[in-house]
Amino acid sequence: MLSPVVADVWSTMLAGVGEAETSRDLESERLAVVLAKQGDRTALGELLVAYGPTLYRSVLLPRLGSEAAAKDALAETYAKVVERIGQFTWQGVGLYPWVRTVALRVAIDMLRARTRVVLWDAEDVAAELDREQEVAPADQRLSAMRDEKAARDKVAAALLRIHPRYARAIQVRLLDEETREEAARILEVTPATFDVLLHRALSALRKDLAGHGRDTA
Amino acid sequence: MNPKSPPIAETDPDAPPSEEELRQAAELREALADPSRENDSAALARAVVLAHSPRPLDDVLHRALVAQALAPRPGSVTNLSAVRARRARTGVLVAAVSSMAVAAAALVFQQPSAAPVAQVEPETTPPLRARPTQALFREPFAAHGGESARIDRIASARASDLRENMFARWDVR
Repeated sequence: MLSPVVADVWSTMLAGVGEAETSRDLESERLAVVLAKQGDRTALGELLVAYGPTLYRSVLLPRLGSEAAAKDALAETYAKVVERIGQFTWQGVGLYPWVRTVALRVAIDMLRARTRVVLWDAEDVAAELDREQEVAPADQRLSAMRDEKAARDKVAAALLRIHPRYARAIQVRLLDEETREEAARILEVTPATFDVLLHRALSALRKDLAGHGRDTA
Repeated sequence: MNPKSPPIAETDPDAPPSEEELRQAAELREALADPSRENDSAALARAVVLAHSPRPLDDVLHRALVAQALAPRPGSVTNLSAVRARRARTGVLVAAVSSMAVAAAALVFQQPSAAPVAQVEPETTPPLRARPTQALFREPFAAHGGESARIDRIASARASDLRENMFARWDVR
């Protein structure tokens, strides 16, 4: 684990560096990449700080479905970027598409090692990566918006494949984040009955995701 | 039940629950309230929530992750140390093997001249005793480099020993 001294030094050094979403100039990014490739760790740190929040929120968290897994994946992505930045070739669209691809490959490895059913499986992400070889997302913000929309669409498509009442239970309790009691009231059942309804809804969703439903989203 | 027909809960969400379903529903409720509890349905529920409304990454944690990625890896330091230690050990090994080779060569080269000195009484001129090379090196070995110089020093010392022994046997000292 990082020593407090090192963490403090880096926190100070990186303080004030905003996310890339706040309009990073492509030329200054190119210069930062040049420096990073020459071994300038401050420049590389600035790039990681700029991309990390988007990678975590839009790419890793939805696909891995767990904050702990997404944090592990982000750490692994950073390790690979640090190791391979020398191999990166500037193509005029910034570093983000490359870093995102690294993150997706990390996510694929993690999903392959997982036994629990989540919304994405490794083959879903691999197919997504293959499709993007032809149309790579260039702008970080557009790419993030597209990723987040794809995640919401994936949820919506999955809910369409299960019984409407189950979909409604999931919608109200999980997506609208209503309390158990309020969700029960909306679905016109007792809280205890709502527990059963939600259990059945998630079982149906898991069964759907484990089966044919995955690739049709 | 016909295995091809769906369970009644899939066709009638409000069908009366079994005891097993009641137990599983209670477990799900507890797992949703306590993330430390292992439960597949609760994990899927969280995945659905995070896909629909992903949470931002904590800034302090993120900076720590960046710093961790940029800090020299402990494994790399260990490897470098290991490489240096290995190089030093290799140097010692090379020196030891070389000194043995020089000694062996000395024995071989000694054979042709053995006959003339056979008449010399060994008791009066004892040969130099075999000894380790440690005495030749007072300074610590460098982490890397210097192997050739050390081998040269050993070879030179052993050649000198060989000459002394030959002179002793020939009784020309």
